[in-house]
Amino acid sequence: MSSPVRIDATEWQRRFLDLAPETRREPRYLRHLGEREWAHYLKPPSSYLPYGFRRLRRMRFDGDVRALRLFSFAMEETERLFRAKQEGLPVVALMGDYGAVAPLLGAFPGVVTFYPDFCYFTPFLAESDVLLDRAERLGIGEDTCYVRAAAGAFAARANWPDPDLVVVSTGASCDDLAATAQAAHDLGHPTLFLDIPCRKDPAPWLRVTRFEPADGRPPVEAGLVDRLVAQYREFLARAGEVLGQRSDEVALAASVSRARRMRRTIREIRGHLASAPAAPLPAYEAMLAEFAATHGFGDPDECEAVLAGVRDLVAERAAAGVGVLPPDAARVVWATPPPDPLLFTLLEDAGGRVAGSEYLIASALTLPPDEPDPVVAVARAFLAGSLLGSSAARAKSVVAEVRRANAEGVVISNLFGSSHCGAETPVIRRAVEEECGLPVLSFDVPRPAPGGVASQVKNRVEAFVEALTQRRRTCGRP
Amino acid sequence: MREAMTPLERFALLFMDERPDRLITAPFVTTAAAAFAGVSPGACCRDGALLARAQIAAQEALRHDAFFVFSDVAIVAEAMGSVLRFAEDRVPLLDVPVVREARDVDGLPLPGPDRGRFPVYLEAVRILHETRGDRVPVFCLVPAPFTTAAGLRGAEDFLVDTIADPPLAEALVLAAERATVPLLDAIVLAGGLPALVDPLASASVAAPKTYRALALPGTRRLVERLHRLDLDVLLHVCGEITPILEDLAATGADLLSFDRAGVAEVRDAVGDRMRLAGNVSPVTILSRRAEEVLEETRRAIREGMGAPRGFVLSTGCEVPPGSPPENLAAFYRAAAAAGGVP
Amino acid sequence: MTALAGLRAAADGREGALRAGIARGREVVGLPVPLAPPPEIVEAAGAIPFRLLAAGDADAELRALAALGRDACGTCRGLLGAAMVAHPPVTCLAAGTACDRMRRMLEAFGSTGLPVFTVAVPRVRGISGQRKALAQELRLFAGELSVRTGVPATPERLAAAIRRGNAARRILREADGLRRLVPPRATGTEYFDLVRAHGLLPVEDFLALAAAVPGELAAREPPSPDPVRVLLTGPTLLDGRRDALAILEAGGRAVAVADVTDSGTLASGEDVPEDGDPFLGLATHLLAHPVLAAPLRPSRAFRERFAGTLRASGAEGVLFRGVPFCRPFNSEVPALRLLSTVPFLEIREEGAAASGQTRTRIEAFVEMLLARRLSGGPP
Repeated sequence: MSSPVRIDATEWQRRFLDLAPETRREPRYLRHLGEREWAHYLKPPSSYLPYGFRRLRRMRFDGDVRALRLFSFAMEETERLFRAKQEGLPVVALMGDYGAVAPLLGAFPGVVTFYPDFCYFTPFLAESDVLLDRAERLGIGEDTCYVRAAAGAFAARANWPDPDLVVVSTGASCDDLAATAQAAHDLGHPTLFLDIPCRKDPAPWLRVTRFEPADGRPPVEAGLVDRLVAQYREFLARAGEVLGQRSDEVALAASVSRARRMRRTIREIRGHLASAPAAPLPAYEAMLAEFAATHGFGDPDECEAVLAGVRDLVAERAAAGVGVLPPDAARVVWATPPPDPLLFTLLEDAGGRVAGSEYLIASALTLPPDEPDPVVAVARAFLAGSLLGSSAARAKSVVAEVRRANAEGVVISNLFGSSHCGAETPVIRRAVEEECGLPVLSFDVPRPAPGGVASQVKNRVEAFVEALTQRRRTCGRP
Repeated sequence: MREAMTPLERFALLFMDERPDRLITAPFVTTAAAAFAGVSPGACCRDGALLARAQIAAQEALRHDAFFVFSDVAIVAEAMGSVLRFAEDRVPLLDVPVVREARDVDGLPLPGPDRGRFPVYLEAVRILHETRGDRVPVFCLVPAPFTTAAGLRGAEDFLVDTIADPPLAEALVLAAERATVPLLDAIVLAGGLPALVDPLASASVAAPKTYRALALPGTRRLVERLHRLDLDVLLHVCGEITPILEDLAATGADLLSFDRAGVAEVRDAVGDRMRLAGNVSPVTILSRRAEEVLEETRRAIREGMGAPRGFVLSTGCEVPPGSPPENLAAFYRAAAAAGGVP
Repeated sequence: MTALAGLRAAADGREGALRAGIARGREVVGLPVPLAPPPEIVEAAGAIPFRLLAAGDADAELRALAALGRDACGTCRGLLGAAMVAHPPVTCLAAGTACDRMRRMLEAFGSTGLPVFTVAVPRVRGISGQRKALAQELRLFAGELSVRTGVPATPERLAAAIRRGNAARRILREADGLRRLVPPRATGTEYFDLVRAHGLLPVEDFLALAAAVPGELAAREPPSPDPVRVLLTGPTLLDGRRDALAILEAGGRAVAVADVTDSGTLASGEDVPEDGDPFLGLATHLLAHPVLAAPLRPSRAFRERFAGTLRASGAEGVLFRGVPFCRPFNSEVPALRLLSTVPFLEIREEGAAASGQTRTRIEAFVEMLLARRLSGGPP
């Protein structure tokens, strides 16, 4: 196997146009609808440039078609949603919950889910203020994290069709998202709210019965599971009323099994990313793979195939000892998903590699335990959520990830205005420095602007990688 | 509180068979844009930065929904060796065609994106994309192979060839097609949406069977190539198109921009397969009274709004430079009254 | 000295008394969030409730900045900063997770070495079983606190505390009603002084000192014959951010005749049900009178309360005093503006002391409302 490389949009376009037609046309979404011309979604990054995604011109991508399939599948979500709606499929927006509601909605076959929250990335991919300015006019301004872009998208109705239902999970999630979701609700969409309970894991003054989840995630108070299960049951009944369908228990069980399979695949991918001598996948595609765990990008069947392809790709590369980055790339754990994917390109160009991550979606990466009742399984997995617990608990997760990935440093991309970043970052930094003795780089992700990342952030990322490399010379390889 | 969509969002929805928030209004303000920036049309044809500046100035003044990067239909032929005559007050015209005789075809170069005035187009596209590309689509109008072939040979000689020497005509069109491909690819990478214009292929100039035999195959292949990238393709044909409507649909283009045909007629014939853009006459805008512009625009909207796959209010061809401001205003007034440009 | 002045003095001198109590082994529970957990539980468990107030000074807020980030709201920074700087006379803390920042702030409080009990409060309205779940959470808190104090918070003790709490609420409501009269018989400042004392003093002391206040206020001449009537809203009027209120009422030209804040009438609210399970009663009260009004989603009930209060108060203007980064309240501003049938002024300023610009804006707002009245605008 020849050494794979990261390539830019120009090179991908050239390679793509030479692909065999059957390779180009094989990936198809919403397959169960039968052949639809619009359902063939594989395309290179350059195809998105004329539609406003300007950042893609500055980024680098994995050059393998299996990784491109993942990229296209994620990028095509907007059209997939509109097409699904045109085909009469119910479209449900999920907000603030990562990994529980989507598998639950599998109880209603045909429902297509999406996360408006992921609009968080859009202003950066487009290098655009449009969505953020709209959010500001709705009263959600600069002092809110970039998730506010979703409010701007709701207001113009161009990023997704009017959802048949909006499911908002608030409570132990961020305040920014709750405000954004309220703005969406104010636009008149049918909305069901869920109250996410908080874990009180490190409270010094609390004695309750706990159980240990199978995968080593933070312990959870037993009462929370029951409350969440009751809430989910009620939710399914109310969602059924709104969608005009009865909850199908067999379909629900199948949906949860599928979520488990997908998460297992993602774990395998993450395992290779952490252990392979050379990075078997660039950080951007790796992040997309992780985010697929939340809802399978609205088409879990196709998503399974996409992820399997990526899993095979990284396994092959790991077995062959080749990667998309040099084997001596500095290994970092990245905490909090950067809304600007160009930051990954910067890190990788500077000689770094994301070997582990904590992207606030632990609830979506946790395997639902084997339970006779799929709702209980979902609730238990969900309670591992990154935002449900304390800052200290999240710091513990980052430390565990550092150890798992044998990392040499941690990068934290803060979101100015976010209700949790400001409190979490010092706690994470302290934990990493004290428990692992590793350096931490944290910075606020600057507002999107044409032309690339602000030079100050660029310099800091490059200097950090340089420092890690220097440190390795003095301290030895990890 | 609802927010207005951007022009880019409107076009994106149109191409997904969705209804945007309002009537898309995209007249071909191309050469006429120069006046809005206070520069000459001729200068815009040679300077990408000026061309972009003119487009931005016109769009900011008129608030229509698209940029059109365009100078003339000989740009590909020029890059292959034809010589154009430039002037400050107008677009360049073909002066010396590169193909004088049949054997010249074999020696035609395959121009890269750095040849001729391709860099002018690409610079304009890049600037527009970098500065406004998150909200306004950047269409870059490229001559289709049949029209470029006329630029390689001279329009009259080429039309004679189509009858007297079909193999030569076909060779010219094929050469033109090959030369167009790198430009299309480069436009996409610069952030533009390539659009094909084929004025020489209309039924006003060429017989329908000529279109079918010579123009359609190359255009279809270019559309297919752009579709390979999943791009939405605008095809513009000036002049009479009624006899070739089915052929135009057969190109696979996604958005048909047309000139001399009734909107209702085109809508009924191919509106189920293509989105439509049209078609207020540039002649009306240039030389008739404002009331007539108003009436013609209203009629286009009335008939176009029923198009099953969507409709873009546009002009039948370029808005002529020097069009009376009150006539342009009448066009936009009618658009605004129908929920178009504010 | 008037009864109100006596009450103010008692509240101001409260810290010394508490420190003495702690020295005698009493448990004092600092409550940074109004009503969550209810002070009645603290009393029933034999401890002393003490409302923690934001520091109200920039230095204290700066101290908290490192722990909470520069984009934390001033209320949270002020509360944590106060704890870090002034070392309040408390032996432990208990607070509701009213918003995400508040939850993070409570965790940061742990770094002061004080035990912190986090009460998970609902953030969504209308979830089945949430009343029972909240009652259970309150029971858990009562049990934990009882372990610390050695005094079981029995239903009987709690029921008695609830009765006393309701008596205090009646005093607050009476005073609240006085400022709504035409002309107002009490000012917003006076009302908020009562609320402050209610948070700081043991309920017996409050009842003893405050009982005479409404009568005294009603009996005197109205403080101002025909002031502009203003509705106050925003998150933090009590917590060291009385600046807007002070400027508004300076010179007697305007009176805050009503408020929709988390520390004013919403905090006092109506009576806690006195029959049945007292924990369920407290849970019912909390859900009906949310701890922080805006974060309970959807926001409809908060907005209805705002619109209803605006109508009932006859306010001629609305003054929103917010702080940057208070997401739950700030994001409600557009909706409140839409609901306002009268002029709406939004002040969103960092720090506890109003800037000159804010002073000018509030003064101009009052001028404008007066001019509007003269020009025949709606009263």
